[in-house]
Amino acid sequence: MQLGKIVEDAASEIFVFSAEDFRFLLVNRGARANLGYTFEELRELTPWDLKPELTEEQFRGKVAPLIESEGGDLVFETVHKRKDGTLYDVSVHLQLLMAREERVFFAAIRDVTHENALNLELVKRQAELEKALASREVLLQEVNHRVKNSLQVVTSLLQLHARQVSDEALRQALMDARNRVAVVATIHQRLYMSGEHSMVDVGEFLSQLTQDTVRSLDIGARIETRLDLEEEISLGIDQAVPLALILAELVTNSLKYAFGENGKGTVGVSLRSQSDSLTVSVWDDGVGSPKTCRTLAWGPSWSMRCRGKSGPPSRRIAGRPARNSRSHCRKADRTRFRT
Amino acid sequence: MKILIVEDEAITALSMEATLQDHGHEVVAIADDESSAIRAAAEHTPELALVDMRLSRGDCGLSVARHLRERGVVVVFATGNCPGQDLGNLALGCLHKPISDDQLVRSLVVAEARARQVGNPPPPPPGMHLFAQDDASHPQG
Repeated sequence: MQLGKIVEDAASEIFVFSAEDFRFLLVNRGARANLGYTFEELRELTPWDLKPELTEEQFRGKVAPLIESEGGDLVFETVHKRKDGTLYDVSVHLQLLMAREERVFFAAIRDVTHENALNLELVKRQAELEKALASREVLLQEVNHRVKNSLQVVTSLLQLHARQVSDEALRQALMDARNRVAVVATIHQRLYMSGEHSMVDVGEFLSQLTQDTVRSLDIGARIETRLDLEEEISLGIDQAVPLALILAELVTNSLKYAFGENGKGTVGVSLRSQSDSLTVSVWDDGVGSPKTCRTLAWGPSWSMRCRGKSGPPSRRIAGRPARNSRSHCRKADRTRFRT
Repeated sequence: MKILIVEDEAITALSMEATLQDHGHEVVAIADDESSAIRAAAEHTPELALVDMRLSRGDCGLSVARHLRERGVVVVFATGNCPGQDLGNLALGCLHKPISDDQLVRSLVVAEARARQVGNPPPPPPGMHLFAQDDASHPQG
């Protein structure tokens, strides 16, 4: 019969057994081949003879709900034992059916040995990955710690040297160098804190840098800062470091020289993004002009334009002679340099 | 203040010592591991200790802080790896390395004011963060 042939040829292992005495009525070719039994041999067996994990009592208990409700199905995983004694994992889909007044169980069984092995492998891989990730975190923390300790040694060396020199200009130069190391350290700290490890949020870090610079000079009460920083702009570490160094110079310069010894005033920093570049402006309302402004345009070509007054720091970075004029930011004088 | 420096990097410790002495503090000892820190604390009864996290011979600053606290020494961590969790029961706060002279001096002004429970202590300088304190954790040193 056509239906019988389909069942016989099915890829699943098909078993039909009586719901009364649990004797096998039909076992298809796939099942016979995997188990290694002939149908004549199987006719003498029951499902629990093939399932070493289940006793007769346990198997009867498992299928009892189907018998009680006279129908329905049940899915479970267990192990089958072949004629030669070897085992394989199976997923069983069991149904209670009525066939010619007789209640029979129809079981479609999948050999899931391969699936389970794959799953096991997957779980193992997952655990390995998690372990690798954890050790990467530990390593990063370790490297971070060492970097900061090394920066501390550099800072300490510069300070110890500064302490020993009597020339005030030389001492100041050593202190300037130390402050620049501190700026680089700030970026490193931010990089590590962000969890990103390669990008820094420019707005957040310019804000911290500006505030730290004001606080480090201990003039917070006299100088107001006005920050207008666009959010969610990220820069790679290679670009963030030079930007930070320049910004720190500009802000320090304003704070030190724009307001005299005890003058009050405002220093502002703004950050704007265009499609392919960033513009950072630093301004103050101190001596020299109503409002001094410097703008850095930071583009993908690694070039930077500096508009406005060219004070000593920009001159040093630019490697160009200083201009004496402090020009108003709207009629900006331009110095061009590359990093 | 009588200060104990617990730091295994000699150059860092020397720079800290010089700065502290310049500002009128007395550095009673420099220790580079746990046992030498505990010995120095017993011998010199410092009021405050600057404690690095990672010390010589694999010793850990947290354990040093615990011992020093028991002796009534006010602890301030000075490390490249400030603990994320609040350790108010162990220390007053943490200085993030690299620490400059100015930061160190101003941190100690803050620490001294807090340790002596002066009203209105100054805010911490950049690079220093304070742990939340419960009142019992810092008796006068």
